Amino acid sequence: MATYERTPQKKVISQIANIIATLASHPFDRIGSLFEDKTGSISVGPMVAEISNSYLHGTEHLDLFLAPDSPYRSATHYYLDLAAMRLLYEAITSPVMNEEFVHTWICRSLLASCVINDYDHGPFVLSHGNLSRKNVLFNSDLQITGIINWEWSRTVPFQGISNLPPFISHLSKVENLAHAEWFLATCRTYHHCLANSEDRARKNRKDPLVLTELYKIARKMSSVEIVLAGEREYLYSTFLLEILETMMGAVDARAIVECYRLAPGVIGEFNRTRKYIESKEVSPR
Amino acid sequence: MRNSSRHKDRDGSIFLWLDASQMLVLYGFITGGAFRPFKEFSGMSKDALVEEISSINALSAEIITSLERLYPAGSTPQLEQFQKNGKEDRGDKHPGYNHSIILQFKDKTEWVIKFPLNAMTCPSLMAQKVTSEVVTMKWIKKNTKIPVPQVHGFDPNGTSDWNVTRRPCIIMDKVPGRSISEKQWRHMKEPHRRRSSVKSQTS
Repeated sequence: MATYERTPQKKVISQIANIIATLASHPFDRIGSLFEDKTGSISVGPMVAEISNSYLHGTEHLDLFLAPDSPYRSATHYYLDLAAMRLLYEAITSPVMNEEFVHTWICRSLLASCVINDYDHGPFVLSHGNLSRKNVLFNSDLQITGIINWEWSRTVPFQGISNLPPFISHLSKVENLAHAEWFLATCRTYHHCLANSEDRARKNRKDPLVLTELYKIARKMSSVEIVLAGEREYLYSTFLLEILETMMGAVDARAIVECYRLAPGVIGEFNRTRKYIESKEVSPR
Repeated sequence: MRNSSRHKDRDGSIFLWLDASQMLVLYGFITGGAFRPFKEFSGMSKDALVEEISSINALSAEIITSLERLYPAGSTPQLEQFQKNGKEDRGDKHPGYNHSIILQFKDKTEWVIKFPLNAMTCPSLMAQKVTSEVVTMKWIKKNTKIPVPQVHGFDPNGTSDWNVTRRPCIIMDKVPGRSISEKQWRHMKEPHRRRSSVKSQTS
């Protein structure tokens, strides 16, 4: 096992990566929230975590966002449902088709190219849901004393492992180039720590480093995954800079969005969604 | 595709395709005008939220009675101190989804009672959400070594006999330790500072 210089940051990141690797080593058969039956056995039930918080507050008709099809048996089904909720949310927010509706529509249309087929039907893995710096407590020696606030936890598609935990990814702002370089360095450290954790955890040394490989493959497409998984604030940044440029090179993303805005499929879906909303008499609060 | 947009990791494969300057642009979108923040909380009644939090803070007697009922005489120390946790005026910040109160016992043991906020939770999912959070922590304890708080009691509906607060809640250990602030995080030493670091461009 490689030994690294144990700087404080490295020490922290390696513990975070270890938690992700630990959770990823326990497969589940469906996507949803954990429940217990009368015999005390724990399994995946309806999705109550993400859905209960994500799209609910802007509308009066909360029942529109209750993910009736959960628990899901495929990653595709899960992402499609989340995208549908987002489209509904945007159509409620704005009676005229807004840019977010178009962005989400395009993201959803890219779904087939983003789901890794080998993992579409599982395994699924438990995610804390909000592994931010606020929810991880340390002692003075920088050892983790506890992870709190599991209310957003749920099982998620295995390829979700490619998303950086908010502990690493969330910064309120990036001030300058040095700060951006620093951020990218923490990402690289996380990646190496994840590989180390996985290497330690695997029993048969001949197994491939699945997590590590997946991280590399799926990160390219993770922007779509993040958007479809309900991380709404990422819509602009990831879509414009990451998805389109990664797939097509330097393009005028806004021009593409303008094209899609006029596409009959997009207009048609928006009109149908608005009709549905009006039939339910939903209005933004 | 711009070459500069690719970072290569040790294996030579693409690890992150954003370079530092793109990161800056990306965050420019977020902090600048192009990013439309969510209106998630703008429509919500702030008054209702403030009112709910102060009504929870007024439940001290009920919380103590509930604990005494849950752990009948002798099995639990008396509450020594009742600390309010959480600022009541949170301004425009995200108000959070729960209001937690720290319970300190005579022997200095600390528990926390966590109340999900009605104003921030879908009513039809409240009970399931509380149940699932408790079950998840139970699963984690059973199957991993990840440290999570020990749950001492919970009430998904707020209707249990012992619970005179009449609110859904979870009673659990208060985890010792502190979280790392963004400022502390940023000033932790970088693990592998490269010589070509562009810190001269700071300021």
